[in-house]
Amino acid sequence: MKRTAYILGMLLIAFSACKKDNYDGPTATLYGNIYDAGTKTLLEQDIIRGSVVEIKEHGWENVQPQWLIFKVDGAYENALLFENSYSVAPVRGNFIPVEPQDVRIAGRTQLDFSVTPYIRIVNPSITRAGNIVTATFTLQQQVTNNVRKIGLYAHSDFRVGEPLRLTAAEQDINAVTDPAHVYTLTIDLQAPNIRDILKPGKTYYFRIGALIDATESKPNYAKAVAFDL
Amino acid sequence: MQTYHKILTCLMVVLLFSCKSVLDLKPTDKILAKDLFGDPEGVKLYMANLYYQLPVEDFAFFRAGFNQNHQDPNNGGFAPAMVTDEAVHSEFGDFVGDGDFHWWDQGYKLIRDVNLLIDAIPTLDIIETERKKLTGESAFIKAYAYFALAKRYGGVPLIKATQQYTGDVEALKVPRSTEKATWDYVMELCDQAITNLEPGDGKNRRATKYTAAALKSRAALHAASVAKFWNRAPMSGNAVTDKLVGMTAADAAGYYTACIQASELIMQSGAFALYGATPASPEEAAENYRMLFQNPNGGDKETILIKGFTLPGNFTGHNYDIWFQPAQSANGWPHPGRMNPTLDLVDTYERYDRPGLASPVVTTTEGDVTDYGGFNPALHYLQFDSPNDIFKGRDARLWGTAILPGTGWKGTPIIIQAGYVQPNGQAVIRTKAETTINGITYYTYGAANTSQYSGFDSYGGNNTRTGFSFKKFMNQNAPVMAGWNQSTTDFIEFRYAEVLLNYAEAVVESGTGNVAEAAKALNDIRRRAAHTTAIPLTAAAVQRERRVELAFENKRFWDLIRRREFHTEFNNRLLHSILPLQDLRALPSTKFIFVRVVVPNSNPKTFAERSYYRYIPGIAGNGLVQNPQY
Amino acid sequence: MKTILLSALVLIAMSCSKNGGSRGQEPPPPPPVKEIVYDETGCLYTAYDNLVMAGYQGWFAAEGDASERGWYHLGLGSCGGFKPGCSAVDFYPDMAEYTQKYKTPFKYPDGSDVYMYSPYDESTVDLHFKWMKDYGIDGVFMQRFVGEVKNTNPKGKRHFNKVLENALKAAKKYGRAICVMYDLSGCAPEDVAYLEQDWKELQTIFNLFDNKANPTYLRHNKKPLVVIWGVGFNDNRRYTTANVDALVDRLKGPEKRVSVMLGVPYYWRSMRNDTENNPGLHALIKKCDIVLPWAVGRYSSGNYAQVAGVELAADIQWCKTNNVTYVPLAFPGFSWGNLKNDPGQYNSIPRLKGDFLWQQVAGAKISGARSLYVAMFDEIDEGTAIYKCAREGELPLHGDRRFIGLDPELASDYYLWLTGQAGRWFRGEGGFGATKPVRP
Repeated sequence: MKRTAYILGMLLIAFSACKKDNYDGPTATLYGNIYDAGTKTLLEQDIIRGSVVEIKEHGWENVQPQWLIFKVDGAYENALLFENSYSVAPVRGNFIPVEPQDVRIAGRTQLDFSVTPYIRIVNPSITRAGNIVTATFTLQQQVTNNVRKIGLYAHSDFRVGEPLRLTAAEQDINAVTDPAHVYTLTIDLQAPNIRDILKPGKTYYFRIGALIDATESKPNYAKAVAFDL
Repeated sequence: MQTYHKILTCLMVVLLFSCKSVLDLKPTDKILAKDLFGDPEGVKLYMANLYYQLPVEDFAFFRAGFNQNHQDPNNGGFAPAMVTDEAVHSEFGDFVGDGDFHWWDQGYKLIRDVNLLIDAIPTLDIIETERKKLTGESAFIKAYAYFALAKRYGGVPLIKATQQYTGDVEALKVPRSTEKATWDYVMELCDQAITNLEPGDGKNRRATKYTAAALKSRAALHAASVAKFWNRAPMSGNAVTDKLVGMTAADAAGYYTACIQASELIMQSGAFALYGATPASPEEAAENYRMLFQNPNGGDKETILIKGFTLPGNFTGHNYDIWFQPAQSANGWPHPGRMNPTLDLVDTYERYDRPGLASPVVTTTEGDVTDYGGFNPALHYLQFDSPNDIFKGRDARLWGTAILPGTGWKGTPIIIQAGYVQPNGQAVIRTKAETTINGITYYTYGAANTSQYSGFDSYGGNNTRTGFSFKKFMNQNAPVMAGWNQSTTDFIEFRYAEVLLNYAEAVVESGTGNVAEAAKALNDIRRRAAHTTAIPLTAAAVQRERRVELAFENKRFWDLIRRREFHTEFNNRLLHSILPLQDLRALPSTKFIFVRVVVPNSNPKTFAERSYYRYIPGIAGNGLVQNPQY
Repeated sequence: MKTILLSALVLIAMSCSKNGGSRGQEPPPPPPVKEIVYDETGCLYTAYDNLVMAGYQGWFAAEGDASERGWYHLGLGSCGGFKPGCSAVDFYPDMAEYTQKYKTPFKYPDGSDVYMYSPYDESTVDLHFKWMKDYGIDGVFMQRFVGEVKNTNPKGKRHFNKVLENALKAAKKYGRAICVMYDLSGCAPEDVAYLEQDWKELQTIFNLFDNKANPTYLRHNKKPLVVIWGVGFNDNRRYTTANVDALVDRLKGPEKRVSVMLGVPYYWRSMRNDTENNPGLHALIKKCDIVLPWAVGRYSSGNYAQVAGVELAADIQWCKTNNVTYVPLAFPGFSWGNLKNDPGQYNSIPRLKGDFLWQQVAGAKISGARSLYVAMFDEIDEGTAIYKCAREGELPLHGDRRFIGLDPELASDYYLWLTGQAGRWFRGEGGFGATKPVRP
């Protein structure tokens, strides 16, 4: 008891020693979406290790950039920014790089991006027949780089993707793809390494991805599909 | 910038004391530069300090940096090998963090210290041969320092001579050079060292002509690889645009040639040879290999530079023996067993009957070595008479590197067992249990209590969770001393086998040089491991050989970095264990089966591509361009 | 730091006031100059769109032709001219179809004489344009080095004017697109200004803009097109981007007399590597109508996708945003061992039997390019020629040097054919993809 009182006393002293600083906290929000300029639809992203919005606050030398992440559907929002002007660009993404733009961020500032994805996944279909989950799709690549690999990714979280998966069926391509070729990927739910990971009675999300072979590129995706196993 | 502040402070202190007009008092606790360097013994002392500062990735090198061997260097027994595929920690799953493996302030401190010596060399009253030697050693130390900086940070500020403070701090700020210019400077310094130093036999612990050549061989191979493989993980940003990081494939040829020439200088000197080059049996080879690391000083002509750990105690001993020996030989130390070699590494060792071929450990008649789904009663597991028979016929170096289940260590059989299969076919795995059949009691972990086994019990984090414990570098002769910094096994910083492997890699990757000689280098190392069938020189064969020959010598991390393989090798990477189970269905025979599984309680690891370079500390102050994605 | 902030604020304030509608206080705009309108009736090429065109050097001369320039661009001064063991060229033309040809100091292995053509001859240029028509190449850009056509170089000027005269005639005859392309390499600032004078002369001499006289002269954005090559390079040229900017202003004039295509370095958009870091370059490009980045030597087959993939697509995206037409370049390979006197430079960028060229054709198409510039039709110094060249085994002897031939399993017209296939693809025919077409 004595000891607790002592600790409390010390804490009190410690806290009273700290005067609240007199700087304003961050008040500004930057939010928006990233769109495929061709299809005018949201461009699907990864929640971890995905494309990021790079913002550099003006007025500092050698400034440390900040990076805002996207949600999987291509929306982003950060409400902890200081009001100021910034250079803003989505970078290291699954789209052809774009130039940064100068933006004044104050209050709630909306900034949408319109970009061309490296790869469009066309006519995606994910179906399940018994223990086999099958994905079919074609690829329209928008740059002449090789497609490095394609994959069907599975996770219990709806934000499934190449970095966030419990299992995957991947295929290396390493070539320029033929837009007419229909790709097929399957996951056998009863395969030895999978049956203990994707368990019956739970819901899992499956998502088709394709990765271009370009500097710091991220995969392009179709929308995830859920199955109750 | 901190570095500069430190340098400045030091410099101002020196300047203060050199101002005779202020006060004619001499400090009693400081030595003046001219007094220090004026005395050959002083130079020797100073030199010893420079060598001490060398960033040698030895037994005291951990994530927090170098010389982690004073007072209470408690890092939980987390070794650099555990961020590669060589090993996992018995408990932790940490991976490469942004703050790990830095060497910045310390680097520039060493460079300043060596530059001060270089300034003094022409003024010393010593004979010319000694002066030449000091010049060569200074160049070696500087080359070693810039190599350590370049492989971490890419292009760095090159402080080629002592900076003089003239009242303008800005004048002391030096921008980063390109990565290429930095590597070229490392090459230039190596050449200075090679030119000025005399040949030596590697017995003494200072740099010789061949130590400098070995450094050049290693550094040139690193530079060549970055140039050749940059496009496996290209980056963007200002540091890339300014070429502060990254090189082009066209730059590779020159560095490969430099590696080949430096290696040849050593190979053709006749001063070096592999220790135990032609063993009569795999058993002899395994023991030779173990002995080379237990006592490098007996390593005959293989060692090129040894870093000594002379005495137990702060700054002089290390902690490998306490952390990494199996639980059964802990001798009272409460936290043994941290180093768990992976099945992934074990799979890499060749089998004598399959020279040159990948031979993952097969556990079932079905033979699917990619099945990590756990014990499956439907499969036909191969039964073995002992818990290590499954590894028989595999490369001697496996036996010299890891403690395999049921093998002896310090006179005790080390028991590593994950469970048993009951006569009814049900498996009991990784839970503490026992069963009595016909009056005999069987234990899941192979023995009754925690002091009698070394595997799979999560008790205290003291047991291996991969099925393997650690042997390389461990001192078999002495019991573990249960305290900090008590190990005195010396560390081999450069050895002949690495030079041979550098040479073989440079030849096969560049497509130049003497292919026959390179193939011989590769096969000489295999012969020392009791392989009698030579295999062709291929890039893959060289890399496999590096992995097994240099395992746990803190080379794998940099191999993955320089060859830009880290992000593909570690993309949601799970490492693997082997579960030895006693198969009680075979009673009364004693039989063991093995199950390949993902390391228990482990998570996938993914290497972030930015980690190919460390971040530059303190850019807000020093004004340097930051590395990509930091 | 404060300055930046302040100026940012000022900018914002200014933009606010603009939106605020304080228009009444702005000075009255200058009286508009009427934009010039050309009669494009009968013109065959009114836009550089869906076209595959090549660069045409036309700079060779033969000893004995009427140009009196000797073995111009064939010989190398440093080793004594054009003779076995010394030449500026690596490739050698297939001479089978030329009617006017000149005996050279070279011999074939069987001892027979080796001949060379001269573009000073009308029949020769006629043959080249006939090939363009036969193989489906839309036309060429006539290279005009400003340094070669100055008044101080009367023979040079006469040569290039004669070649241009031959070409305009042949272009009309075979319905091929043609356009003048100035190369500023080696210019002093005052030479840049001289270009305007030369350009005026050409218009007068050849009646270039007349839709009847030159119905195939290339137009773009409703104006005749002129190309200025060589701006933005960071190789220490004497003239500056500002010099060229001023020139473009003068060429266009307030009435916008011409459309301009700019030849810029490869990394023009990000202003790194071969490009000067000068925002003025982007301002200049936005003023022009077409941008052509110089890709020769920037990649080879092995690293094409890595180097060009994203660069190309991002370039096209930038141009779309800024309303500039983008034309990528493709070249079949590169070899200048004789010019550089370095055998290591033979085939330094291998042609790989057309795989490399087709990789770029498909790359441009996949990335969304609408036209192509092929470097070059007749450039054998740097070994980028697509016209009919001699194959390995059919080459003249060359002392201790050698000539580089086409792969013997290819016909001498293979690169004309392959470029023609690119033409078909860009003009909208189907059936083409990343895989090189097979010649029937």
